[in-house]
Amino acid sequence: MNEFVVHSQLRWWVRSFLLVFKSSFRSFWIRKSFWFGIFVFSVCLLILFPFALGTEFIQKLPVQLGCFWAIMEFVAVVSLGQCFYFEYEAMMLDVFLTSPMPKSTLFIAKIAFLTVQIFSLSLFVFLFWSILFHVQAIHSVTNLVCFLLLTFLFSVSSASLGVVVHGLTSRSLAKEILHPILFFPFQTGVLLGVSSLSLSCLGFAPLSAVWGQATWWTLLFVYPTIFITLAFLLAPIFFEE
Amino acid sequence: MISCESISIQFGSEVVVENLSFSLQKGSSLALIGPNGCGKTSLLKILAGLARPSHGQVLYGTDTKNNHENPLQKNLSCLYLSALPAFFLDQSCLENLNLYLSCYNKTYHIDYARELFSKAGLSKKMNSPVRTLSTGQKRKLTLICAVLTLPDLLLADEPSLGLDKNGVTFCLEIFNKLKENNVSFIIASHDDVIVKWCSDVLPLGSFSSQTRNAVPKKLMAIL
Repeated sequence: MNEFVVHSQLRWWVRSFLLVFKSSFRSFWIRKSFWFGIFVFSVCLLILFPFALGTEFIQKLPVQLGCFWAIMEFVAVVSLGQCFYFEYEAMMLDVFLTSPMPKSTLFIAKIAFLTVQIFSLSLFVFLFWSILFHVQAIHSVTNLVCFLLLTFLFSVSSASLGVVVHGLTSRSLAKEILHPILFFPFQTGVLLGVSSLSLSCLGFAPLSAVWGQATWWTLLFVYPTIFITLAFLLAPIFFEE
Repeated sequence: MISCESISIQFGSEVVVENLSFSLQKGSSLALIGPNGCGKTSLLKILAGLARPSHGQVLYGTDTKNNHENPLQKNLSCLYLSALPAFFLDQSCLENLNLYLSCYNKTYHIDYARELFSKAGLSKKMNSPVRTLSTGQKRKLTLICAVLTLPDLLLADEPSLGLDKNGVTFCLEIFNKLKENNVSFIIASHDDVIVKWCSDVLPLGSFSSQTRNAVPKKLMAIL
């Protein structure tokens, strides 16, 4: 295969990726209420947690962090539940899958879009969380950068895992059972990683004494790498009936 | 261009299509007919690469030594028009048209698109959201997308569903334009006008015990 062919295929891949990303964003922009719905419910949870846990207990930093990641898990699960909603509603998934576009672009672009969606929500949830819970420790720049990096890694890991699981199970007759069975055990690793590292970032001992910071960081970087690679490799069999 | 070898479609214990073989040459048209539930849509989905048959295989390409199981591997562009028109409902007709063409890496001249919209009676709807279109108008829009996309193979499921008499005439006009460009067709339809337009007819379901191969239309009359 000569260089020109490789170059043109790569260009076509990038164009297809941008096409799916743009179309996802456009559909999402028209229905902005989806984003606001998730955001408003997250803020409601932020308000409700102090009532449920008690105002004294909620002032402890590990509890505050636990509340944040619990809400972020909710944000990720709801966002992933809608990942191909617009394509299903419009019946456009079959058009994308039968067109000459490389199938992998559909899933990689969806992972990218969902990462942006979850991360954008997390920024606002983070802002409200730090205000409503009076989180002082986060005011240092180093802590803030560390926290935002963890939020991004959480977003990209959840998005890649969610898209792979959705692609594998969506046309199965047992999708209602398969989806949570495959999603939550893997997602637990990400959740434990970000919780443990956010504790470490703020000067607390990590959740597991056996696993140091380096191991959790490795896990958080390896997760999206594995699932993005899987999305790329398994794309031809995704959504097959 | 496309050939099916001993295809069987099975849902649980129910065998819908059994040991079906046929081939389609470039530029020819094949109508899939048969009663509801005989496997027309399932067969189209298999041909489009959206589903796998229970047994057998579909081969794409003219060179028998270099056939592929996937239309994309053979650089064969295939457009699948489902029974329900596929469009992003909140986006305009032109935006949806652009999306279809971008998926197929094609461009079009806006004047030609305007002419087609005018013929379809959709001139005033070009910039309206697809949500405001009736079922028949959406169907006409899929046909406009098909003619501008100009695929190698068009797989259409009930392409005249929801169309009035003028709509069916418009549909045939589009099909003729595609045929002039050597596009191959496989159409699942209950509409006699569409079936008559096709050069070959493949009966499924109760007819399939009579023959497993594509039969000439004249023979269909006897069946």
